[in-house]
Amino acid sequence: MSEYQELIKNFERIRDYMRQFFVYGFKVRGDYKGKSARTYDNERRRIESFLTGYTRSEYTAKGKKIYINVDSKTIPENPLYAAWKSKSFTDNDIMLHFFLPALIKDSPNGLTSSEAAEQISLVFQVVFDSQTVRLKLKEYERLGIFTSRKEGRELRYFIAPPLPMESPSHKGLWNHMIRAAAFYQGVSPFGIVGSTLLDREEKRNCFFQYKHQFLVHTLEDEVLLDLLLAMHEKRAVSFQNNSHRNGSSVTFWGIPLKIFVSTRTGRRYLCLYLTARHRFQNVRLDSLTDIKLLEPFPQYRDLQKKLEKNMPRCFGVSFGGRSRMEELHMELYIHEPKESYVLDRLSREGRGGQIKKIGRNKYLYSGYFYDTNEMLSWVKTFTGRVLDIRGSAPASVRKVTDDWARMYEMYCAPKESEV
Amino acid sequence: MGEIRFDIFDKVYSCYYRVVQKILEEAKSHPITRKDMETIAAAYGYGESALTIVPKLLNREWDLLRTEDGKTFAPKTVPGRLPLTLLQRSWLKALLADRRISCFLTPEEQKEAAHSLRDVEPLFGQADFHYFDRCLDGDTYSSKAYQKHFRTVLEALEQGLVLRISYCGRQGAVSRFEAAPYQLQYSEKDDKFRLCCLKKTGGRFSLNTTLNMNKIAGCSLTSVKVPKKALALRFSPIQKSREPVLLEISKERNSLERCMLHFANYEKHTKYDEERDVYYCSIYYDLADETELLIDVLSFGPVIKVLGPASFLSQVKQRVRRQYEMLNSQTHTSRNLPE
Repeated sequence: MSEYQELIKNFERIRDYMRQFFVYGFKVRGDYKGKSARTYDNERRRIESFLTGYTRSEYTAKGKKIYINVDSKTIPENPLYAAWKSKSFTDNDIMLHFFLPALIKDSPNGLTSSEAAEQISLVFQVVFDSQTVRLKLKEYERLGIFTSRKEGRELRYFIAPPLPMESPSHKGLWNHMIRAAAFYQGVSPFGIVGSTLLDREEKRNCFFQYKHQFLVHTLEDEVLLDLLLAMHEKRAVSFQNNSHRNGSSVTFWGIPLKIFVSTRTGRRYLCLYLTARHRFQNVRLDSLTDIKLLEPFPQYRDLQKKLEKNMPRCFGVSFGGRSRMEELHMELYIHEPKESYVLDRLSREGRGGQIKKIGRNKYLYSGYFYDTNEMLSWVKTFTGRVLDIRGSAPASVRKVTDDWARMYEMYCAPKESEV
Repeated sequence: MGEIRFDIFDKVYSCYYRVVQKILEEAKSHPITRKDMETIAAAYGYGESALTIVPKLLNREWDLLRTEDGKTFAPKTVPGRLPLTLLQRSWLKALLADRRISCFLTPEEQKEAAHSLRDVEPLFGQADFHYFDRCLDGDTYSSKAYQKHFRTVLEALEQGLVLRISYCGRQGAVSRFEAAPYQLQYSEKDDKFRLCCLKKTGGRFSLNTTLNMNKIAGCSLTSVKVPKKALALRFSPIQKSREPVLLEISKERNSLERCMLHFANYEKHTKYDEERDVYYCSIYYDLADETELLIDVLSFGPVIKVLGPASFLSQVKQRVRRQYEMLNSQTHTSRNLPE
């Protein structure tokens, strides 16, 4: 039985637990089906260690539950980034990490792998075989930390030069760049990279506060990186789509085209073209695993153009069924002098739908989209203002009016004892 | 992106490497003890990192320190700052294409930065993403005046200086005042920056105010230092609700998962009631965000039910009742649009 280690080899192992602890936060050990108690205990201990100060625990009738408790407005940096900085390594890895740059920096003519191994033994009194050193040099060259030059039959390694903007003559620019990084680490895709940059610069985000920030997105960044690579190389992909609802897993094959992001619901999607079904489809990014990059797709540009043409007709992420477009009309009561902010909201959130004044304090919103069912959550944010609602998809309209009737029953209808 | 395959989960970004780097740096300035190492590991590592890092250094499995007496330690080497990795360069390059970058870098600086990164491919492009529900009236980042105000605000925040501000109010009237800025809030959903500051009233910086950056008509630095009480407000809600909003969540329409994710950016607490087969979720919120939380809760319809607090519940009831009355006061033959 292996001893518990704080660091991990495989990110996928912790991704799911972290998500569950963060998003749900009510599960106890027994709720994690298909995992051994020991695995659960180790992952729980790890997360508590990574996120010291951000986790809470509580005893329930079913056992102890652990959850991650964070208000995004109260933190300068995403605490979940800690998981990305937890990759395990060997004793040789860490020693070479410190020895090699120190030696190479002091060698204007660079070092070969055998020279580096010899120097390490001489200067630091630690012996490595030249093969281990060679592999580490190559690894750091791949990362961009070292460069190499072939001289005769020898490959000599050098420290990669700093960016010109890092030079003292551009101090102002570099400071501004790092200030930007302090902001973007909280909002940009792959904010974790910004966090590593701030680590390097010994800087922190001191004054950017984030509202509507979905910290959990970072856990999908590895998946996102693979998908973007496929998109940039115009390749097809295959992946496993794992349902959060029923736990089933289906293999998808398609052409990845864009990442759809919701700034409200915290969901991100991969938009892909399913060649077998001749249609676009969005799938949740947090449901995807086992991404495989396949062959380049020759008509990639055509699909991109087709998608761009289709996008304004999506209210959210649905491309609808095979039928025609759907229409939704909603009449709203907006008290003009006092409630202009509601009109503003209607216009900034209406995704291109038309707004027309139809009477005193009365406005008509008309939207024309692939799937009006997707609009219903938004329509319900106007609860208390909708004078009338009509649509070409009767089921959608019925759904929202039924919801309002149920809400009235739930909140306002007199209870039997009161009748 | 050519043949480059990046890996975010790489040991070169390891928290342990950073802790060891810190230990070596400290040991370079003075010989350090085991206790010093433990203190550094506690400050820069995870909760249990010291338990691994310190013994590994002491028993020379990580042979990075020298010692004469076995009690104090000096570094064998301190390599200093490493070059940026390709992944970091590539991320920086991607930022240069972001529409908000002009707030941070002048056009000349952007040009210089682009020149510095000319051989680097961006990690992602703006066109790779589609933010489909972001508000359409975001800040005007391309406006020269906006950029100028933004940079002045950044200087004020960095140097801790009070600002003199001209601000366009609701009716378009411009007011002038001094304000002690303490943070810049950004909302991805609204696509807006808001300046959080203490506005000077009655000779004191006492009124906690949030200003839309887009409505700042002018701002300049003063030489007055921001009071400490303003800085203490950083990363804290303006006014936290005394009681959380308590929701009962059914299992209908995948509401639990949707609700948990939707409200994931709030401090919240969820429990399951086995007997009733429902979930209860308490959401702690900033009073400044109450209306926003209210309409978000309403967007879920009847699959979640607000149980309290009373003031929040009464707002829900009021809107639901009004909605019922509105739809039922109209006479409709059909809600279907003609084919």
